[in-house]
Formats: sequence, structure tokens, C-alpha cells
Amino acid sequence: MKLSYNWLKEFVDLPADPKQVAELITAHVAEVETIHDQAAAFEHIVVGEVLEAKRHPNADKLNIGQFNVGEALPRQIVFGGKAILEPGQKLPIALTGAVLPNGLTIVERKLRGEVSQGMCCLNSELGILDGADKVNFFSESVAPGTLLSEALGFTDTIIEIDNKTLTHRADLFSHVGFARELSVILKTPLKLPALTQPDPNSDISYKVKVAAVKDCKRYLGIVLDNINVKSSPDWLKQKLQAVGVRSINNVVDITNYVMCEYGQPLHAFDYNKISGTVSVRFAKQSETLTGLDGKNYELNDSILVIADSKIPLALAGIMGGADSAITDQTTTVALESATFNPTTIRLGAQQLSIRTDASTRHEKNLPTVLAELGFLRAIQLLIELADAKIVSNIVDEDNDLSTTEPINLDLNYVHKLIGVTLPETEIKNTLTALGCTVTKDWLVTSPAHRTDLIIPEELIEEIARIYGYSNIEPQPLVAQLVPQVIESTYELGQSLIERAARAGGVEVCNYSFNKTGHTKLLNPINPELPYLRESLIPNLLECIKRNLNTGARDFTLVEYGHVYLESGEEIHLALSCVGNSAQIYRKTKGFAELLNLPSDTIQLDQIKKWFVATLEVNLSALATLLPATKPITPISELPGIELDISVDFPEATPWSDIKPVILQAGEPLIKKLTVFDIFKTALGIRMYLHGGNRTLTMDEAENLRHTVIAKLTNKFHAIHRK
Amino acid sequence: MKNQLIDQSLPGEAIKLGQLHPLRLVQNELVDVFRSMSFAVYEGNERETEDYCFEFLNIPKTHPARDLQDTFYLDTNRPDGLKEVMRTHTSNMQVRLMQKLTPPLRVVVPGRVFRNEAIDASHEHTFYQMEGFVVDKDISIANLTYMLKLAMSKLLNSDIKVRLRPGYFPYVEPGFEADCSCVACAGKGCAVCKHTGWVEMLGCGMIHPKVFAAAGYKPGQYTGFAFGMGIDRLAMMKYGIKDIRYFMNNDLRFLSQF
Repeated sequence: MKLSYNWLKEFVDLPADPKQVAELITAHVAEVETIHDQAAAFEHIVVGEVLEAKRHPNADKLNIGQFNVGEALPRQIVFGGKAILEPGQKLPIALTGAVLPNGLTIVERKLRGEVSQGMCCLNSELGILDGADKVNFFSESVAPGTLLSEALGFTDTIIEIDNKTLTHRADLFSHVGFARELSVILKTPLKLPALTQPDPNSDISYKVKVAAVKDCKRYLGIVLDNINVKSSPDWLKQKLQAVGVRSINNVVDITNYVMCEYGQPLHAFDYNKISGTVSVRFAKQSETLTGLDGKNYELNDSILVIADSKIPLALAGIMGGADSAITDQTTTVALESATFNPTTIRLGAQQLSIRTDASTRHEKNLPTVLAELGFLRAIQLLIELADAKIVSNIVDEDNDLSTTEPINLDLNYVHKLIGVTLPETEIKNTLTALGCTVTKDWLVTSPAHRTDLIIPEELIEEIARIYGYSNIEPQPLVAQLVPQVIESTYELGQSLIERAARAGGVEVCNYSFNKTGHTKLLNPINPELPYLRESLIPNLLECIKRNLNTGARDFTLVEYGHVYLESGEEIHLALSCVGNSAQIYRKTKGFAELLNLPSDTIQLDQIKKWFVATLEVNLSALATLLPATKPITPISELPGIELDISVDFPEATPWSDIKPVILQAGEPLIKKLTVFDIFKTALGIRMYLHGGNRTLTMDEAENLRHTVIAKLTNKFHAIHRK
Repeated sequence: MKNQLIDQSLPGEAIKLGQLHPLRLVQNELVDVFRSMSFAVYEGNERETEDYCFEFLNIPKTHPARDLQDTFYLDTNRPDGLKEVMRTHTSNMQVRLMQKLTPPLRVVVPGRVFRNEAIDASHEHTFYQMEGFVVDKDISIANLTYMLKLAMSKLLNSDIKVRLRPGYFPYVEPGFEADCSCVACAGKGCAVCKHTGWVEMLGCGMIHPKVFAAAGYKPGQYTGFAFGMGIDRLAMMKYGIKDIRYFMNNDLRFLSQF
């Protein structure tokens, strides 16, 4: 939301520097997104008066002029042929240092031998007014040297607030709201327009029937005649332009003006286009409405409308309808100022894909008192600026049943929660300035415009933020020192991932959604992946595929993540080795052995010509049965013997068959048995022999080699290669 | 050595170390800071019932965050009638842990969270957060500022300033946005901090009495503060990553740079 510094200044005395105001807002109220100084774009551009103009002696298309730019001496400026200048004319002159919107920086230079100390600017070159290729001449009353920004009335600074930080503050979507905050922060009075109750008239008996009582907490209406629809006065146009609202005509502008001023959206209907009684109801299925934006909206029974006895006239709280819009012919206006159910408006606007300044405000749960203030202010301005006359009674359908219960404020709790002991008077002054009433027993009643103040903590927030969070002296946490728990799966996963990474694994994290499964998302972002993953492997394989496609070769990925089974959520670890042969299986198995993980579930996949061996384990189960610390084996002083044999098996034989045969043959001397080479069906087998408490002789080792080979030959017809 | 036996000018043999994911690197830094200050670490569950994710945190049914276009809902029918969601924040663990443990509590919850939104360079539907909270008899705003200053100074390895500004989150009251003085320019103002001297770091506040009530704590028995920050955003700041999608795309050409 945009705030105009000049507008705020009408309600409260502010520091001269708008930046300071923005800083106060950020520190005490809400986040300021940007500060935009309207004049900044026109720095070093002034109004200059033509004193003398003649042809350039050395160029046909150029002229030379002497200009009074408010300095002691006139400046010589070379200018083009698009405009013929006469002495006495006043126009925008860019001086040295000015930067035009197209990026051109003005410097003093010579043009065809003649010095030029500035530039005469067209509207198009400045991006002002109509933006046309013509000069904007100023009236005689504008003194030479006046800043262009001043001459054009661009003297405001726009402070833009992040709406999200106002979610709970429906009262702050307005200049009055922020002016009130600033008056409390700066401890200066708030000066609001004096609003008076208008005198009703009995010419027209105006009725509004609120059928949807729960969705329209309050509806104020009145009929005004003798309306003179015309262009708004400049001051009003300027203010609307400053906050980004387009000027339409005085009647529409007044409703928008009041919305920006008090925060209450209003709507003006052309009374003569309304047939029968106005009502607030839900639309009927198949009803339609053409909005002020010219679009046709198909309605349904969840869209709240303001209707006459025949058709919907407006999307309540969102947008008016084209049929009953104010036109140049309008003479009679029915004014609406209402409070609608925030959720109904939000969902309605969402359904119709419309977002308006009105719906943004209604979504925030506007206090019903604002409907009245906005109503009174709009009537006042319509009388003042559109010659309006009241011709009806005042409708005020008030269905707001909420009551304001006083809040019992415990000062000890205030001090405890803030961490500072504040003087009682300061607390009381802050709350009172914000509009609360405070009894001597600290029963605090919040003002009607603050529907968000219900519990003591909310009052404490008011006290603390006005005091200033930066004034709170930080205090150390004092606590009992007790060992703190680390969730076991987290700690196990952490150590496994770190060890896998040290051994060459690259950690990845893939999405939790999958093609197949049991638990489906109601609203998947990708309709092809509607299920929750039950295993890490499918998305890990996709990830491998992507990396193979971009040229990665021979890599290991490791992933830690949650899977969601019907039996419950588990934390899994998956590890994939990728290589150019099925032997990659052994690498994954090697990782499993290194990480002390079960390897019996390794799955082998093929992606094009690449092989992927993947291991997935359930850490949730594993974390509960962490192995006990293994006692170490003392190192023997006696040497062992390493024996290598190379054996060719006539047909592929699994190691799980070979291993027991060797162990049996070599008992009890074989302490370690591994395979150090594989070539087709031949294996290089390494045995480490040790005699325990005695030294082995070479003869013993040789005998064992013969026994093992004989057994393998006997059992598998294996051939020993020497 | 017989150097003439080898061509010393050949490139070295490629020795490959593995690599932790950048999000884990940043998460580890955060967790380490808080572990050093005696915080417990829980990751918790990602699939969650709507009460722990919303109701217990004072986020009513009508709140926009609960719309289908913001939250992933599961197509399940629980006997208790509760809807299930993919947690939208790690704050789901606040009430779960308060119910399970007895104060004083000092906990951080790092983990994966989900929002149903279209992906672009600055939005992901799956990302990482770290929640933290402290509950004890007399925890104050002054304690929160103290701890944040300490933790952020340690994380950013610099003696930074912390400031609180008003912010709004339904499960804290008062609620704040916390800024750190900009490390890049020492608070003087630069492009990193958009010339404000401050960088937005996290959302935080004093735990809302409704949250304590949901946890079964007696009114007035405890006070506490909670804070939450985006790990992806921190990682992007730290490593100068311009596109959030890099994290879940897992391209080895990206991952191998850490």
C-alpha cells in the first residue's frame, strides 16, 4: 500500500525528512518496502525564461538562446528546431548534472562552435504530462529558476508498505491509520477532519435489505441528488495520483479518496439505474455481472453481491458493476459503505481472479466503525465537491454482535514478557494514545477500530513496539545446563552421510513426490507425480539419468530423506553407485560394508549402457539397534603369511559357494579371505594366514595352498593358474 | 629421486572426494551454532495433521495459508476426521515437542517443508527451514534479542547487530522480523542490504498463549520465544546462488562446486 508523505502531514506534524518517517514506521509499525521521492527524477531541472533567441550561425537546424534560469547571469543554450521560442516564454531547462529518463546526462559543451550550458526539454524527453514531443510552457507567475518538480507539483514522497506485515491490522490500510500511529510514536496530536452527522431527508424512503446477515456485518446507505459529475479538483487528483489511483470523475474519485484516507472501501451507484429494493445476498447460480473493468463474471452461490430486485449490481466488497456505474449523465447517487465477511470476500475474489484495493481491505476484517467514518466523510466531500443534496433517510443495518470485553492487564507480566520495567505512566500513556481506555485497576478497553486487540499479549505488543524494540536492553538466557537430546535418526543419518561423502559419495536431495504409491496428494503440483514417495530409489534414479545426460560418469550419489509408507513415516538412506559394468554392484556393497549397513537389498538397474547399483536402508529401524562398541583385537607380535591363488572356474560359480569350501579347507589358519581380481570366470583369491600364538612355517602355508586348490578342483573342476 | 622416469608435467590423477549438499552444509552450520548453546535437535515428521500444522498454532480454518493453492493436502480419511498435509513449516514440531518434553526447553528443528506454489528462480515447493524455540519460566523479548545476536554473530563469524521490527505470525505475540546488520558493508549501506544497512534474517516472536494451551501448559506457567528461518535463502546468500531450483535439481556440475 502506498502512503503519501504530504497526505500524512495533513493529519500529524512529521519530521521534515520523509526517510525519517519511513524509519519510524519500520521500527514501530510495519515494513516499508520502498521510498520514492517524486522530485528525485527532476533534479537539476528548472523553469527557464527565454530572453533572446536566434539562429545558430553554423547550423541550419539549431538555434541559440539566452535563458534566465534564476541565476545572476543568463545561460546560453543551443536548442533544436522543433519549437520556435519567443522571449518571455517559460519552459523546462535541464542544467549540468541532470539525468533525463533516457539516461542522458547534461553537461556543458560546445555545439558547432557555440557553448551550450543546458538543454531545453520536451515533455517526451522528461516523461511528464502527456509525454508528447512538445514543450510545456509555464504561466508568467512561475519564477525562473523554480524547480520543475515544484512547478509541476511533484513534491511528494511515496512510502510503500508491505501489505503482508499488516495482515492483522485492518485499521492501517489508510493514511488516517498511519497518521494515528505516527502521532503516538512522535507524541504529537492527531488532527483529523471534523465529521458531522448529516441531516436526513424524507423525499426518498431508501431501504436496504441485508439477507446475508452473517456476511454483511454493517451496511450504511443514503441517496444524494443534484449531483454534478465533473473532473475532480487538482489537489484531489494529485493525491490519488501519488498513491497510484487513476482519476475518473469527482464522484468515483471521492469514494477512492475516502478509501485511501480512512481505509473504508465505498461504492457509489447511479440511483436511477436501480430498480426496486437494494439487497445484500449471495448470487444465484447462472447469474452474471459485467464489472467496472468491462469483464463479464459468471456468479454462483458463494459470491456475495449487492443486488436490486432484478439483478446483481455489484460484487460486494470487490467491484462495482458497469450497469449502475456513475456516468456524466448521473444526477442521483446511492452511496454504500459496508463491512463484509473477510473470508467470503477473499474466496470470492479468488474464485473470480480479481484483486482490487477494496477486496484487499475487506479481506483483513475491517472494523465496522470504519464503515461509518468513511460514509460520513464521503457525504461531506460529495456535498462539497459535487453539489450533492441529501434526499433520503440514512440506512444503517448494523448486525455487528461483537462486544469489546475489557482486558485485565497484569503489569508484572508486562515487565516480565518485555524484559524491561517500564514506568506505569508510560504504559498508560501509550495505551491511551492508541485509543484504549484504561481504568485504575488496569482494565483496558480497546478502541472500536482495533478489532485485533483481544488478549493481554496483544496490548504488550503495543506497549513494547511504541517504547521501541531497539530500546530493550538484551539480557542473557539463564538456564539449567542439561544434556540435550539429538534425535537418533538425525544423528545416525548425519554420520552416515558424512562418511559416505568422505568416501566419494555426493549428497543429493530429491522431491518427495512420485508416480506410484498409496498416499495421494489432493492437489499435486505435477499431475504425473501425485503420490508420496515410499522409497528414495525412483527419484534417485531419475536424478542419475539427468546427470548421465549431462555427461557425468562413474559417480556415487547418496540421499537422506523421509518416505511415507502406509505404516508410517520413515527416514531412509539411499546410496547409488553408477558405472559402466555390472561390477559396480561391488562398489555399492563396499559402501555398505564401510558404513556397516546391510547389503542384501542392493538393487541393480540399467540406464542405457550404464549400470546403477542402489542400496536403501531404513534408518528409523536402524537407529534403534545401534551396534555396541566392538572390542579391539590385540595386534599379534608374530608375523602372518599372505597367500594369493588364481583359479579359473569352468562355469560361473558364486563366491557364496566357493567361500565355505576354502574356509573349510583352510581352518583354522585363514583369518581373512578376499577376492583381489576378477577376470571372466577366473578369480584371484587372497588368503591371510596366521598361526595365533606360534609362527607359521612356509611348509604349512604351501600345504594349505595345495589343500585349498585340490578341494576347489574336486568340487568345481577349477583349474589353478600358476 | 629418479625424476627422469616420469613425466612430471602430466596432470595429477583425479582423486574424487564426495560432497555434502549445500543445504546440509548450511544446516550443519546452523545446528552447530545452536548445539553449542545447548539446544536439542529434532527433525520431526513431514507428513502432518492439520491441527499440529495450523490449529494449534492459532492459524484458523479461514486463514489464507490453508488454501489449496498454498498447502499440499493428502487424499486420506482418518478416523478422527483430521485432514493431513505436507508440513508447511517446521513449526509443526512446536506443540509436538512441548507435549513430549517438560520445560525448560531449548530446541531447534531443521527440516524439509512444502508449499504448493509454482517453481521459479526464487520459489520452490520443497525447501528447508530451521525452527527454534525456548520455553521456561521467565523468557522475555530481551532474552530473544540477546540470543539472536549471539547466534547470528557466531553464524556470520562477525560481531553483528540485531534489530527487531514488528512482524506478524499468528503463533507468536508479539511477533517480529529480525534483521542483522549487513556483514558486506558493516551496516554502512550497500547493494546487498539495499542501502539500508540491515539484512532480513528470520521471523520470530514470543510464543502465543494459544500455542501453550494446545500443548497442555497451564496459562501463565511459562513464557517462551520461537524463531524460524529459511535454510535455502541463507545458502543462496552465502554462496551467491541466484536460482533456488539448483538445490533440488542436483546437477553434479553444481554440487561439485562446494
